[in-house]
Amino acid sequence: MGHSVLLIEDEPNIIEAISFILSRDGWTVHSHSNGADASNEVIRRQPDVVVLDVMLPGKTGFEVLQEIRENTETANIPVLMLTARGQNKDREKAESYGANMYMTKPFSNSEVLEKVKTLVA
Amino acid sequence: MPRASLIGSRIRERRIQKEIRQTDLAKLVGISAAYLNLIEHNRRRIGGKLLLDIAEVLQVEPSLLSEGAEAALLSALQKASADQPDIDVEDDRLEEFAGRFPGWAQLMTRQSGEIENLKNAVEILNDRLSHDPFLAAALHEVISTVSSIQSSASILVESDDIEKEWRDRFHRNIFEDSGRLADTSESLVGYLDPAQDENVNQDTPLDNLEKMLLDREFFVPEIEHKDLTGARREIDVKLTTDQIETTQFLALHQGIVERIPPASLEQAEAQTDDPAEMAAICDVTIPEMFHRLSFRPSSDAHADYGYLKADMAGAFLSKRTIDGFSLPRSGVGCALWPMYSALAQPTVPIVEAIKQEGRGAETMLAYAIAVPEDARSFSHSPRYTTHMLLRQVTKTETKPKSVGVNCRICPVDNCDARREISILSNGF
Repeated sequence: MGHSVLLIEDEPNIIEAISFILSRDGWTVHSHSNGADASNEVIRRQPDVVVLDVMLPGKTGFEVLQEIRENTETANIPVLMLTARGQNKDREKAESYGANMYMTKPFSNSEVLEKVKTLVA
Repeated sequence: MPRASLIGSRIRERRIQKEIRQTDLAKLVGISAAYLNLIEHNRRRIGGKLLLDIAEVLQVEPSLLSEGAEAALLSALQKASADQPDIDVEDDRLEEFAGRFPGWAQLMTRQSGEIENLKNAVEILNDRLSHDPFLAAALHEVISTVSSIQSSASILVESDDIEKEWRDRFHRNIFEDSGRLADTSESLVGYLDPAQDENVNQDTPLDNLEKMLLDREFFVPEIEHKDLTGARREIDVKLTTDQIETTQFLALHQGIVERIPPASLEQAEAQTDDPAEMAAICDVTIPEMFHRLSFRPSSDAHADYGYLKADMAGAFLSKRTIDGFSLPRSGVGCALWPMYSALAQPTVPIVEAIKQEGRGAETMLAYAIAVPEDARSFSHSPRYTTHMLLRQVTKTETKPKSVGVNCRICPVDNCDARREISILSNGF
């Protein structure tokens, strides 16, 4: 059985594109588009990897990441953060909050696939 | 005669140049014409506040009167030299240079001043790009949409065996995203376009005033010394802010600082964190306490506050920003802010936990009250101003009310208070 990924992103067309890429590679993909209850979804799904956007309605990706890391049930799940900005400040913030990897938009599909694979290797 | 003893002559020369009568100048600065006559003939010494007042009326730098044009020029040249420390100028020949080539010296100092102004303008634009919530939201929208198009297009190009249903779906996504991108880009151009024709400094006088206060960590020493004229002069010279707003603010600030001295404020804060109770302890109005709590240096000893004051049309009259709560660059705020609800029930204090939608927002406890400004008589309808004090909180008893910055950049769907279409797609 393949690995699972939870994609937390509010852009439906990005969800569709990434889901397509990962599904074709054998991943089970679930998606969630609201930051407010995203950490509950992580607890419920227990994915192998979380792909987390920074800009989300309800709560920011940084807040969600903080909740994931604070909960013992989800603290060790690898997280790849997506953001529209490539500023060092955001990268540092993501790292300090416990993101395992960081990727800026726009990104290539192969880059997403490669990073997600690295996180479960 | 020594340079300083010619102050009177310089005043006389400048007054005549400005075509102001001696009696008029004397009246404007509150002395008798006879006394001014003695000063102008260098028979009475002058300095301090009187010199500053005369300089203000004559619209001249006080140093030009006290030290003469040459001293001012030398001082400006020294400053120009200090701004470029890597150039080894002949300091010992400065006076000779200014004396022999006054035109060149003036040209140099003026260019130095213009460089300083341009640096300030660049700094303001940098701040704009870094902190403008509209730009941040719009650029995020553009980049997200471009990402979506790139991902979809890449799938279509790189996947030879893609099923027709998926291919059609990605084609449709690209079509939708490109339309969205066009709309957002158009809004962005519309937002940025006016800046091409106007002065580079697009900040309002209120922005400039707040920036000045921030630079001084909300401490204006001239006010502490009750020198309002000096305070305004200092601020106008440095920031060329709008004189009416600056003067009104400083007059208000001075009065409030006098009514709530630091010791009283400290005592009130030690007893309660409710600003209305603090106002009662200090025997001042609630808006006065809002102002006092907001406009002061940051310190570990007390909480930071944000503050907004608006008129009945919702336009801001005073503002103190706070991290975690964005303010619109222009126009009015979100109609859901408690300060606007307060206008419907004047003099009733309102407290409510609120949080803006979007990145970087923090939960705020918002205290709001609307008060009459000029209730002079029963035959006169008062104007109301509304005030909102913001304090960041980590926990609230109930879920904070979701609010926006303003409709133009608010992503909230189906908001009853929406009065303008958002440029963010979710807001359509």
